[in-house]
Amino acid sequence: MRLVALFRLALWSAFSRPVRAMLMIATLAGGAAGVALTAGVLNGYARAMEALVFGAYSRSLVISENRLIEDRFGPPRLADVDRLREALGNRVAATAAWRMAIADVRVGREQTSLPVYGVQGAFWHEADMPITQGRGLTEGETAGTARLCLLGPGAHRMLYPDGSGARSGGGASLRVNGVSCELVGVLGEPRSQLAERYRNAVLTPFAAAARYFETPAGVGSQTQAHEADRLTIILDYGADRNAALVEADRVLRRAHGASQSQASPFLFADPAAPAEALARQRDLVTRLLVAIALVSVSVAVTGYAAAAMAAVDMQKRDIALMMMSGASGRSILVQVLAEGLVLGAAGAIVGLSMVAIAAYAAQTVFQFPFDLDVAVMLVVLGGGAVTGLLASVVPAHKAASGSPALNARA
Amino acid sequence: MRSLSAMSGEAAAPEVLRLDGAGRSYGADRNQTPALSAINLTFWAGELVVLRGRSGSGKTTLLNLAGLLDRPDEGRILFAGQDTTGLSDRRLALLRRGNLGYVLQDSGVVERMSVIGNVTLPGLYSGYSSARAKKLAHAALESVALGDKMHRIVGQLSGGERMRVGLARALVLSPRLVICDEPTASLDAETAEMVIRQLRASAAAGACVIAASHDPIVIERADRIISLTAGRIVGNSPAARGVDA
Repeated sequence: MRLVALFRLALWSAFSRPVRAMLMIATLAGGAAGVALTAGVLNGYARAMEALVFGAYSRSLVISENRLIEDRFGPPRLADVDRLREALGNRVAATAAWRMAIADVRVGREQTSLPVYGVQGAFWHEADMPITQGRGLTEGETAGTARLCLLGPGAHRMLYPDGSGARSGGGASLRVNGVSCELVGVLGEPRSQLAERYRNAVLTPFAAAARYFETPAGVGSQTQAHEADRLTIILDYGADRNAALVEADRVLRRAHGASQSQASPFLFADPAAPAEALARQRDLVTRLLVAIALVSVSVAVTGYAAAAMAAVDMQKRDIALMMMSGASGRSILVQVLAEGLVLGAAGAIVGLSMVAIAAYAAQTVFQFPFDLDVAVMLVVLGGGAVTGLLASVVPAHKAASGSPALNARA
Repeated sequence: MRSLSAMSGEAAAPEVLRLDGAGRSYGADRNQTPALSAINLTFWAGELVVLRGRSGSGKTTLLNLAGLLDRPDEGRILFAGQDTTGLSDRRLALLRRGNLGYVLQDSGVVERMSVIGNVTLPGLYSGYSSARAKKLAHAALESVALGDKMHRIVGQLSGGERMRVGLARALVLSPRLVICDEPTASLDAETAEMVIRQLRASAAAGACVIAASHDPIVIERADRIISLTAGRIVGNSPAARGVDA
């Protein structure tokens, strides 16, 4: 018999008793929904926690000078950014260079010592804060020398107790180590723990910052104009961080004349480590919840298998008549298995739909973190189909081995 | 009227089925009850044979063996000269496919399936394309005057109509052997007449039709009558039949 015809017969057989089919689908849908819901909630919480704590930092190479070694090769340079971009290719999602010093910042009569960060590149991955007044710095501006600056929310409150500042429409200025700087915007509350360090800070373009730091009155940076305290290479999702780290170290050693045999002249902070620890905890909890989900799935499968067995008993006369019409045992076997496959897949689809609706409602009403990715959906769908198939193996064998002579008269 | 020479086995009509010392018992070990014992019978193409006997005489068992739905405990069964004794279930199913048609007392149709769906089954299981199987089913349904009810669900039909659906399904692939179990029982005279006419037409086209029946309308159209008592053949003779359909 042709497969298409067999599949059609399986479909007919599956839905010839709609109530039974719906109950079997509902049984598997419950199991599928349990698994999908568990995975979605865990994934949603994990992503939310990771973003909250680390932002994009957990997939970054953070490079600074290693001051602990005897031979000094100096801090990383701006030119190293281009070298690393070239070496790492499309694994690099964004880069940023940072230098930092403490400086006296004055607005009118208000004066205080604040950290001043010179930034170049995509600094907002780390300084993850919304713009609440004025505007931000463009990537082009961070590469220039214009004396522009942004204030963190804490710094803004200290310098502008009345809440003004960039709100006046631009032109407000402050003095950093006696050098004037145009305030273009004020940042809002940090969105990640990492961004907290910029709460009370002033952010300015990298090159412009050199002018503030070289002012004799200030506590200047030890770095030269083309040197950075820190380079951040943010890797693309899925890039192998360890492989990228090894390659970056090799490139930097060569550029700075350090041999491969000695200790690296640079430190590579491992911001991923705490994230990985968090991920390990999440995985542990995931396994626990998945185990619970599997128990519910096994209950669903048992119920489904019992229903499938009962269905075969109900259909044994129809099956016998099909065998008398020319169906071989193998045709019946394939037909019943295909029926299980169809009902299993239908159960998974119904379960996923239920979860999608529930998740949408939960997200909308309770701002519930939920993230059901395509891979999990495919696994649930495939798992449902395979479950339906496996649960039908015994009933299919029973159907295929029945006596048509006896069953046709049943 | 068809020549009776075939019924004695002397004619050129090809042999369709032979039971050679076939016997069948039910139950286990000491409690075995013989349903059929040492049956020797030959069935020929073109004849309509009626099996008679009281309840428990072995008619249904003989139909099951003849229809290759069951296996004998002793003896052997040859279909078109091929010994079926050692065939696997799968080979037996393949042998049944397209070669045998079955008409059951209660019509033997799949109640929840459409009329056309039922009659298409033999074609589909025989590997025909869906279109070809449907075309054959259309023709078979037209021949039993159900062309206008093809898409109805069988469960919605009357008893007579169901029997005609069962008949169309049994005959749709022009099988070489048609097995009927009380094909006209509980049918009105008009439908019974249509059924027996179809069976005779099938025999005339070269099939062998074996029917278990007590209905006089079937018996008077038979070519041969076999009588069974307690699992043994007590009569096997040409029917004294005056009218051919």
